[in-house]
Amino acid sequence: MIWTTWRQHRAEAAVWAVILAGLVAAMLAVGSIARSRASGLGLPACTAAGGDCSNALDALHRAFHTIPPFTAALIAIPLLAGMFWAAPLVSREYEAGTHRLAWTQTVSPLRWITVKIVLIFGALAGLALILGLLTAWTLDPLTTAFGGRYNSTWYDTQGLVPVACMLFALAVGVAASALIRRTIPAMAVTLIVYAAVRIPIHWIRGNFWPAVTHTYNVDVATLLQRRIEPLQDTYLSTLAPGDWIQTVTITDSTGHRYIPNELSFDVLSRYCPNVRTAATSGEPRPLDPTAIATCKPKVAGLSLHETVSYQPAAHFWPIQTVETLIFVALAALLVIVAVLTVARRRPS
Amino acid sequence: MNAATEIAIETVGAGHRYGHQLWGLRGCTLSLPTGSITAVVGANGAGKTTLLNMLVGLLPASAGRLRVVGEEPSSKPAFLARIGFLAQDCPLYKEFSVADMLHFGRAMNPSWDDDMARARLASADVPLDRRAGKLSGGQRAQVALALAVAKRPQVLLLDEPLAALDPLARREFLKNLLDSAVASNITVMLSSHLLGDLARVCDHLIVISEGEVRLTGELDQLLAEHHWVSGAPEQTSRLPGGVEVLAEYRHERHNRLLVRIDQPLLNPALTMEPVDLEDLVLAYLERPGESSERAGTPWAAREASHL
Repeated sequence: MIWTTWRQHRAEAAVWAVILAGLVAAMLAVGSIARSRASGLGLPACTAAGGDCSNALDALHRAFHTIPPFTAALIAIPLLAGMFWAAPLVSREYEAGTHRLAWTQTVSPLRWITVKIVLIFGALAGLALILGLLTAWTLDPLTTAFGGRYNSTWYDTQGLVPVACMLFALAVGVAASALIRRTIPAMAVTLIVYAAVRIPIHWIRGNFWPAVTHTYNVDVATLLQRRIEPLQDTYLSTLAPGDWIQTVTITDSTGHRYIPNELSFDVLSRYCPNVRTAATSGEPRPLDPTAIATCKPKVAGLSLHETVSYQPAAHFWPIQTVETLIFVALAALLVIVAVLTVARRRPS
Repeated sequence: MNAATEIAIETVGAGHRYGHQLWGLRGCTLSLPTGSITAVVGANGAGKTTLLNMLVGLLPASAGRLRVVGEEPSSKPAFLARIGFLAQDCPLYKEFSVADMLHFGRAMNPSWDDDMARARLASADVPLDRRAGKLSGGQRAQVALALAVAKRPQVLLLDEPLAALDPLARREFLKNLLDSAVASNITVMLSSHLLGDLARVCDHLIVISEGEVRLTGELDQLLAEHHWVSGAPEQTSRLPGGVEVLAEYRHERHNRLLVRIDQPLLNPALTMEPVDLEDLVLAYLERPGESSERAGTPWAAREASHL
């Protein structure tokens, strides 16, 4: 059975080996270039010293301009494996009529499909793990410059998730193959199901682990600050690079919610029109301290507070673990469906 | 040899229903002794493949029961090891070389006889290094047969093995098959839409039409039981009881009937002639079945020129 599996799939294995060799070469090259660029900019030394490295990080981000293109290939690999390895697994036998040959040897169809699944899924899951480790090495020098490991390029291509994605895509493929028995429709179904399940995960995985929340009081000084430099929000300074903001809500004592971008304008217009005009006139003169002083209690009376909910960079592994468990469980269910379908071995 | 192995293939009222309505085969009752070679004859879609698929366990019985070498057909390796199956169209892995196909047989069957497989292919002049997809129809069939035989089965089931073969390749194939079967005392069942060359090799016959077994038995006995009877219409219309008329060809003063009968007719006005196997099969194939929805064609309307 092992020989048969190898003989039937060695052509695909050769094609994949060539493509993957190219991919690995590209990753090694990008990883080396990224390292030399980062050390050229003095980034490792800066990070070790623990100072503000934002200039060096910006320079590194500009130097790379976009995320390396091979990452798209890495995200596509599980899907391609599902379509080209798993989707033909049973259907190709039906299309060629060879299922009647394969399932009438001295090997039960249960064993036939189980051995194939174990060998192919095992090999490709191992491949996904190795590629994930290599990706982690390649992208590591760029991680901080590109905003941490939670963006989908970083998140989907390293750690446990690529292995879970690989198993899930293969399981979708083999279940479609066993149930539909036609290769092209099974490939199409694999593509649709995989995309339909994987894409929404990006929007909900922030809930896979309890987020951390911080609450800040918002006073006049904060409002003025935000008015002038909207990007310098209070909470940003307290978050570490690589933290992933889930929600930002601003409410007053009555429970009224403000839209963050319009907060300063709303509050200042209503309670401190003088301050607002002065703050937005663009003139470099200092603000009238008495106007601010009269405004202060009014704003304080609102008890404005801003709540930031975020996933710290350290939650990367718990979130990956939960997601891995979900997809491995889905894969296991689909594999059981496929195995039971084949074990019934129907002649047509 | 014990009683269980004397009958190699036995079915009682066996049937398979596709979906809720359509019976691929129903009420099939057969009993074939060990070492017999049985031809299963019927039109395309008559139920031959359904019968063979049920016997190898690829299709479950919706009704009745089946026993092949004393076991209910299943996907258990212990059962599969005892059955050689040559599926319709002789499926092989196109991208495999013939040597790879032998390797496949060896890897998939513990009882594999590699020397036998190689000798068989050598005698059939099949090159081992050629890809299965590039073999001629005859060579494909020979490789498929070698695969089915080299696992040393007790029962060999062949589904339309001759369909794609030219007359010379058919003869080669049947010779090869007969050699193996006789040498190892294998029970063989092979299907075909025409009896043709099978008549020379088989000793048992099953005629299937519209999902029903119309005729089954030992060839010699069937030939002994069936006769052409001819005579004047007034004589042929008064046959004694126990005579089953299968086909009737009427002429103005002379009728010709194909009958099943267990003893000679004593009426001197009737002539009895032995029946040809081809005529016998055709008569059963053309006979409307009991459960057939199609109205039977009146035999009288048939012209004698059909013969």
